[in-house]
Amino acid sequence: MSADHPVPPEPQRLPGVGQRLDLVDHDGRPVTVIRQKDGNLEVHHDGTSVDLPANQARALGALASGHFRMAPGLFERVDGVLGGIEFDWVTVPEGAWAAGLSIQDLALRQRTGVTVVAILRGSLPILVTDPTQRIEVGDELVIVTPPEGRPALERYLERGS
Amino acid sequence: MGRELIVLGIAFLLSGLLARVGARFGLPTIPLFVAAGILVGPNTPGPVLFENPHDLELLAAFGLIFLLFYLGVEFSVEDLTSGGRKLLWSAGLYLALNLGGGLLLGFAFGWGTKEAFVIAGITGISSSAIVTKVLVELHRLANPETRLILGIIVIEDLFLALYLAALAPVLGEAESMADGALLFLRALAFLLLLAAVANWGAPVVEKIITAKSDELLVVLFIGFAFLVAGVAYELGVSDAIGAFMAGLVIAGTSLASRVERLVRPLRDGFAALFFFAFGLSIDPGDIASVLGPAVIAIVATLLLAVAAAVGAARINRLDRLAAANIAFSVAARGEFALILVTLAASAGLDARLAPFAAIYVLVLAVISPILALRSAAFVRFFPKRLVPDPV
Repeated sequence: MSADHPVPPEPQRLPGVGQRLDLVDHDGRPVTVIRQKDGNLEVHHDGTSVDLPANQARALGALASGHFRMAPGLFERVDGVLGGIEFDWVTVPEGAWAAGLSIQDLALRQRTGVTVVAILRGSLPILVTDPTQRIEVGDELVIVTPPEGRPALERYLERGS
Repeated sequence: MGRELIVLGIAFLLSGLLARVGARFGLPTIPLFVAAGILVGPNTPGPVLFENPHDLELLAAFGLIFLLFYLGVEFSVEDLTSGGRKLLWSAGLYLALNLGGGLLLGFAFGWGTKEAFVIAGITGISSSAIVTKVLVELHRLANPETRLILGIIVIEDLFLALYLAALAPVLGEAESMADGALLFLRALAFLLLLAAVANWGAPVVEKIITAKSDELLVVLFIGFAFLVAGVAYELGVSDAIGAFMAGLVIAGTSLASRVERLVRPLRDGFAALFFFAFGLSIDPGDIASVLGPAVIAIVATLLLAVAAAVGAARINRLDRLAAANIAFSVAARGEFALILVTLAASAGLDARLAPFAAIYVLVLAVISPILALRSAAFVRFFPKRLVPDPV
């Protein structure tokens, strides 16, 4: 990250079109990225631009994030699942009812429909294969959720209902 | 039944094929859907698909409802606030010039006071659909002026809802001043009530229409949109506002992005029919009688678009090319002009409004993208004294 930009830039809404992200390259020249609603990506730099179709853009995003490797056609397949599923994360808040309890105690999947696939604790990712793994305040839970599953999970972690 | 289905099938196919040919020349779809309706309507020589345009009334109303519902769902307060005061000034200038100009023209035509207010709405509000499409197709999404253009369009959309409410006495059957005031107050109360629901009642609405499967969500949100639109209509407020407000309520729920995605194909299909049905109602024979006023209105709109763009460019410190881009993209007129004139026709206002709006929209919807494409050639009409080149 360039020293002039300690905070990573946030995308802005382009009403009716999609989103716009303003970046700078190593030399400080502007790079403008447009993500249209259909997922097509335009990268503008120095008077020229590159257009990527949605599936290519997703592969680029996965590569750039460096976090996970995408199976070919994963997103197309996810879209095909009834109602779609979402990949997301939530932080266990201060004073959460669920702190100190294990995934098993919480019966998370049965109660909220959300599956926890990993826990990020400090700099240490824990791949949750063990249902007796306890969660703690400040943990980031990496989840796979049906649409709108996230609010239910947050409520449950906080208040136990 | 069989005949009706065949005729509807031909209507869709004809509209789609005509628009596909147009797309090859960079033309937007709306004017071509209207043209398809004019071609096979009862008033032109050749085959007549629909003897009576009113047969399509209900299906066309679906189009109007989905157009405005989508607009509401897509709306975000952030789009208003993120542009700040500069955006509000720019959009205000645009609306004041174009609405004011339209109102003056409307009175000058002498068709009546109510008609003048409808003309002001027709000339005042751009076509979101065409403007957005032009920006995407001309590859201008990353341009410095694009956020401003899209911001102006959002404010115009919101203004449309308020203007429709203000027009309630004009579009309703107000017999007297008191009647008119009552209709206006009722429209305003309805808007405020739904704005309150959007603000505080979103969780309740969400509970009612939420569903895990897309199938059920579609069924439920259509029900909600139609119900609110219908209630609005019965209150004399117009189904269009009802649909917009229903969308606005959903925009405040966590279902917004799913509903937006799911309603798009419904909007595309039924809106095409709405434009087609409007075309059916146009008698080319009437066009001669309104050609003069329509040409004057078109020229006035283009001149005012340039004036407003000069102002907007100054406010936002943009250069002359940006000003030219703003002027000609935002000059496109389409769905809102046709929605207004459809409501005016069903309220029994002057019959000249429909052919007037038809020429006005057909011409501006076609030439605005063409002018926007060549806006660099028009830069010299933007005085350097008013819009300086960037430093």
